[in-house]
Order: sequence, then C-alpha cells, then structure tokens
Amino acid sequence: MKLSSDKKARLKWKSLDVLYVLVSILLALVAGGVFILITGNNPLQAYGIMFSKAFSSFGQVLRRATVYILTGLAVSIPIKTGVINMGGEGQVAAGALTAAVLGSAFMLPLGIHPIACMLGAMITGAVLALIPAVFKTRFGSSEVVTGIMVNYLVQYLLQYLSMYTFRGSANSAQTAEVFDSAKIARVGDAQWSYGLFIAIALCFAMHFVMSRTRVGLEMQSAGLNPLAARYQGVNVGRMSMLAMALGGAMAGLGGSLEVLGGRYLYLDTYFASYGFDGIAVSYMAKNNPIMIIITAMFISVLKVGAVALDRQTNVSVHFSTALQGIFIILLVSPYIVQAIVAKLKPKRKAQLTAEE
Amino acid sequence: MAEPVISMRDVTIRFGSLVANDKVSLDIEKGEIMALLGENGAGKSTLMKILYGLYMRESGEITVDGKAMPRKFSPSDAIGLGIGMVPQHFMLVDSFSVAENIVLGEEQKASRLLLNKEKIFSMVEPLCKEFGIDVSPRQKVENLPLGVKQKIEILKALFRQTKILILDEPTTVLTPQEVDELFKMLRSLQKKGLTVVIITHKMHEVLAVTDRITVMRHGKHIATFNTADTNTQELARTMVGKDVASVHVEQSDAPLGEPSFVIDRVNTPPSEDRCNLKDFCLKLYPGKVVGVAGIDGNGQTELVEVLTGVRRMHSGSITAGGNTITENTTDSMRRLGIGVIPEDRIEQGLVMEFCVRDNIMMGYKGDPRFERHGIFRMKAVDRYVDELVGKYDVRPARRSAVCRYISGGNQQKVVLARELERPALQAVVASQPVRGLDVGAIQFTHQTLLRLRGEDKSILLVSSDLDEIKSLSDYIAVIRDGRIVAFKKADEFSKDEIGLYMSGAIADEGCAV
Repeated sequence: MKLSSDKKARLKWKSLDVLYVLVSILLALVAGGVFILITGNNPLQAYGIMFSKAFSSFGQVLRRATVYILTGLAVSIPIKTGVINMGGEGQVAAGALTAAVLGSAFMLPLGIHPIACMLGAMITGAVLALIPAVFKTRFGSSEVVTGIMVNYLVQYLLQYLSMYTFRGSANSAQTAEVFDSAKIARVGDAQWSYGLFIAIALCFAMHFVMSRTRVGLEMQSAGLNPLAARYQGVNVGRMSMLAMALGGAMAGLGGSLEVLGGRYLYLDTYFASYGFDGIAVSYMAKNNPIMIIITAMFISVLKVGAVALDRQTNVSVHFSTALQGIFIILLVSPYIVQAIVAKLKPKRKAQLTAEE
Repeated sequence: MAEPVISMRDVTIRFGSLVANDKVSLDIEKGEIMALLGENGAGKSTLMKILYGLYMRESGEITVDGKAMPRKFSPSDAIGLGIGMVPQHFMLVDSFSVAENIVLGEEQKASRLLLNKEKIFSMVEPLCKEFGIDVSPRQKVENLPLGVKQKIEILKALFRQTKILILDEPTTVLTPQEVDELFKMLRSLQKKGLTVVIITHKMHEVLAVTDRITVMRHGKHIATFNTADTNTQELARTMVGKDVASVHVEQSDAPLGEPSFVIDRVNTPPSEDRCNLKDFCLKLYPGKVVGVAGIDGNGQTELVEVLTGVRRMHSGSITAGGNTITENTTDSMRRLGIGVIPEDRIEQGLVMEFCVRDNIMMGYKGDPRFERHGIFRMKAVDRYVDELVGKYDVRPARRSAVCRYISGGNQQKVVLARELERPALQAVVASQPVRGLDVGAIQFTHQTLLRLRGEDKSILLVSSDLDEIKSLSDYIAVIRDGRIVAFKKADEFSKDEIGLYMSGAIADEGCAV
C-alpha cells in the first residue's frame, strides 16, 4: 500500500517534469516561429524543413548527440556538487586533440588503442577542469570566470598545436588521420559509431554513482547544503574538485569519441560551441544524467535541422542557437511555464483545492 | 470595560495552501496589556503583521479607533494611526547613536534639510530619562546589551506617537533581570494610556504581566482569558489542544562520579564578529544532563562547532572514553562517540532537498553494515532507515519523503535518528534542540534526551530558554564571553542567580568546574 502510493507520487513528479519540458519546447517553437515570420519565411514550412532534415539524416543527429551527451554530463556532475563547469568548450576540444595525436602517433593493438586514446582525452579534460576548481577551493576565485578564461587559453594553444606541432595536412590546421587500430567502429554504414553506447552507458553509470554511492551522496550534499555537509564530515572542497575532474573527463571523452568514431582527425575550431551547448543540454535535463540522453538528442535535432534551414531558406544556421536561448529563458523562469501548465490542468487544480 | 481600540473580524489570510489566519476575530481594549499566545506557526505574528500593514488580508474587517481599514494599507498608514511594532530581531543601525536610531526616518521633526544632531539629542533625552534608559543618547548602539537595544526599539515606536505597541517575542534574547525590567517598562507605558500586545509562546511571562490572554492555534482564535482567572495548565491545554505532561528531570543526590567527557582549556582563534572560546573547560558525567545557559552570542555556537568538528580549536584537548584528542575533525569527534543536534536544523542539520534516507545515511560514513567499497547496500540501508523511522515516529513514515516537505518536528526527528543511534554513542550535544518546534515534538525531543540520560550517556544541553534548562538539567553551567563562569547543581541554582552570572553582574569564577 505504502510503497504503491509512494511510487505514484514519484511518477506524478516525473511526469510533471516531462510535461514541463514539453511545454517549454512548445513555447520556444512558437516564439521561434515569430522570429521566422520576421525574416519573411513561413514558420510551419521552416520547421518542416528542419525536422524532415533531422529525421532523414538521423545518423548525423546521433553522431552529434554522442558529444552533447558527454558535454552535458560535464556540466551536470559539477553542478550537482555546487560548482559550475564553464570550461567544457576547452575540455572537449583538448580531449579531441589528445585523442587525435595519440591515435595517429603510433600503433597499438586493436582493442587497446582506442581505450588509450579515450583515457588520454579524459585525463586532459580532467586536468583542464581542475584548474578553476583548484583556484576556487584554494583562493576562492569564481570558477565561472576562471573556467571561461581557461577556454581562451586552450583555444589558442590548440590552434597553435594543430597548426604547427601536430599538423598533418598541407592545407589546413588539422592533425593527421588516426590509424585504423584507434578507430571506433561505425554502426553498419551509418554515420554514428558505437561511441554513442559508451556515452549512454556513462549516463547510467553517473546516475548510479549519484544515487547509490557514498561519493555521490557526498557530492550532492556539498552542492545542496555545503554547511550541513561539513557538519557531517564532508570535505566540500575535495568534492568540488572531484566533480570538476569527473566533468572535465566526460567532456574530454566526448571530444575523443567524435575523433575516433566520426571525423578521424582533429580540425581546429571544429568543436566550437559543443561545450557551451552542453550547458543547455544539462540545464534542460534539470541536470539529471538519464534525461540528458533525451535533451542531447533534442539539441542535436535542432542543430542538424538548422543547417538544412540555412541552406534552403534565408534563415541563418544560428537560428537554432536563438531557439535554444528562448528555451533556456523559459526554463529559468519557471513561473511562466508553471502558470501555463496550471492552466492546462484546471480540473485537476480544482480537485486539489477541493480535497483540502 | 473600555471601548475596543482595535477590532478584527473574521480576518483570513493564506500563504499558498496554508491558511495562516482562519477567520480570526479579536478585540483589543484601550489601555490593556494583551498577550497573543500560541505555538510556533499558530498565526499570531501573521495576524499582527496584517494589523501593521505588512501583509494584506484576504477577507475580514479591521477597525482601528472605530475607523474601518481598507484591505490594503501600508505600515506607514498603520504608524500614522498610532500602531507601532517592535520586531523579534532588532533593526537598529549599529554605527548610529541611540538618538539617531530613535529618530531615524522621522528626521524632519528635528530639522528640515540638514541634520541638526544637537537638536536630535535634546529631543530624545527626555524620552530616555522618562523610561529609565541610563545610557547617553549619544552612545553608539553597537555594544549595548540586548535589553537596552530592545528599549531603544520601543522608544523608536514611542517617538512616532505610538498608542498601540506590538512586541514580537520580546523576551527570547533577554536575561531574567532584563525581562523584569521590560515588564516594568510596559506597565508604566500602560499607566500612560498605551495599549500593549505581546506575541509570545511563553506562558509564565504572560501570566506575570498581562491583563488578558488570547490563545491561537493552527491559525484560529481559540479563546481569550482574563489573566486573573486562568493558570498555566489551562493555557497549555488550550495552546496545544490536549493535555501536556511537561518533561522533568528527577534529580538524584548521588555524588558525581568520574567525568566521562572532559573539555580542557579549549581555545578557538579570535574573530571580529563572533565570540571565541577562551580557555574553555567543562566536564560531562555519565547519566547527567549539563545545561549551558547564557545570553546568545557568548560562545555557545562556537562550543557546539568545536564539538562537531567544523571549527578547529587551536589549543586544548577533549577526552572521552580514555581517548584524548587535540585536533578536532568531524571524523575524530565522531570516533569519540558524540552525537550532535545542531542549533539550526535547516542550515546545519539537514540537506533539505534530500530524502529522509539520504539524510540519515550522511551520518554513517564508512559503516560496513551499509556500504561496501563506497556502494550502498540498499537493502540493509532501507531496512535500517525504516526501523529508525518507526522508532522515532517520523511522519510521513516514508524513507523517501523529502525533508523540505515534512514538518519541523519531523525534520528534527530525522536529525535525532541520525545522531543518536550511532554505535558507541558516548555523549550528546544538543543545541537549541526544540527551537521552533510544536509541543508534541518538544516533548518527544526532551523524552529522547532523558531516555539517553537513563542509558548513562552524557548530555550537554545548550539553550537560550532558561525554563528548558532548568527542567532538564542535573547541573547548570553559565557561559559568558567564551568561558564557563559558573557550574552548580540545577536545584541549587536559582533563575535570578543564573541571570546575574549571564549578565556578568557576578564576576567570573574562572574555570569553575
């Protein structure tokens, strides 16, 4: 009896959350429609182009989503611990370069090579993420500001490295292609690789860590109430460093999966905006690792669709970014959506007040 | 009987789904001292805040001096009608003088454009004299005792020609002597024709000073008594809605044995805004409750923080069960077998977004019964948490209930369950363990502490409520300026004497333990 009502309550909350996200998406699409109208296009037609493109090349959607899932995790783990990882942008690119270099510099046995590349990428990401974390716990400086600054450092460093040190092409700033032994197999003839499964598995792993382990409990307590956490003996500083390192590793891994299973090389600026989009992915999922799988897909659909939109109409490819922005504004101003959700369910509300 | 100066009819206000005032009707007569008595959350402050224009009522009528009030009016309208309110937490500007604080906001009475400080002082001086404040109006408020600060708040109201004075929990921060002073002042105000309303949950005080007592419960007006015709039992019953047996310690004359827990010359680093511990000594004994009394801000918080391990001591030692430590980390204190009930369960005690289970598990780090290699053994965890939820009667009886959405009393039960069920528990440090709780939860908390006393645990009770300390303690220690200044058997230590030690009127006896 008790358990079933318990489960019901939880289900109700979950479904409310989903409804919440769905309403936000709908509102964002409506608002985006107004923008499209202003550009002189038919919104319905434009959305039609976007979504049909996204579904006709779903492989591309999945390939991008692989990275988004991991840059999303890169934000959600730290944020649950009370620190904000703004450095995803640098971490994902630096991880990608690391993987490309390790994959093209030498040969390793088939199974081991990609793993070595991924591990290298994760370490790179973790080290980069630790910079703002250490500055925060040691000197109290804002991890947001330091994180963004580190992004710039990394951006130009990577430009230099891909242009000179590891340049593998005569024409552009890119590395050589990784050896076959380092590649992650594509699924059939599709665009996407088995890397997607690694990303999804990590979502479930992170969910497990957060809900079933001591370290997950401590990380979340540090994020939700650092004082109470300290009273229970949690080392809040160490937890934020751990969370940042984990997040950085996720972003680095994301970069490496695109290199090993998609592009096969590192190309300068290729990874631009993947890290920042991770913030949106995590935010839309309310930082829930499982929900991230869905929101990463959604962002990916928008991005892939926007490219088609750009090609076939005069709506710019940046339209997807605008949509994303509107969407996030709606999510951070819960009252707008709450009011609408409440109106959608007038009967239920009346029922509730009657029960009281 | 005099004409009601304030008349409230069917006043209702809601906060979300909570009906904070449910058709409350109340008449306040001219020149009386009335108490609004009720537990925390009974709606008494809310009602008065409506009267003062801070909240807008949903329905109902209010008349002041026969004049009907509109639904929406501001505090300045209320002040204009002669209503003044002294908040629970004083709102004085520390760096201003007494006189400046009193005049603040009404400067035009003293000068038009430029502030004439001399004129302010001369305006305030007679007021101070009249009400027996013996500090100079030129003195800065900063270092004045809380009792004086409160009088300044009252004078602030009087300066605005207040005829109806509302005091919100006026005695919580005062020593017994200061309470007497305050009551004297209120009576002299009454003689001058003022009407006084005291919001409080302390029954003894209202019996001492009021003419009539109105009891509220769950947002409703329950009854109004003439003070002369009622007594504590009746008031308590009306307040709670059922008979309450108060919890008392049966003191024994057996001599104190060996101390089980020794705090020896503990110092904490001095800080600007807080009182540090200075050569703090205290001993606890098995099966005894030691109550620490003192005015808030004399080192109680630091003491609890040191015993929790969140504030490092830089010298001194703590000994329990044969182990002595000089470095107090949360882990080392826990190994000594201390359970801590922190003073602020919302900020320090619980992670409010966590469910009951997670909050309890926070206290069992590394316990092999509940985790293996850092992974929880969920079945064992759930079984254990269910057991505690039953034993401590947490409601709703669900381990997955999120702590933010359960009542304060149940939140405290979660803290108790986590802290007091540790294996090898030696001592309990309870800081303000019943602050803000309803009577049922107060009783439960006190009974739990006494149960542990019966199991020969040592108990340290820190509270700003002297009645609580008096009724629960075997021994009472008075803390002032970061050290213990007196330590006596509870039944030989009168409230007055405690008050004198608290205020420093009786000098320090050194490490008197």
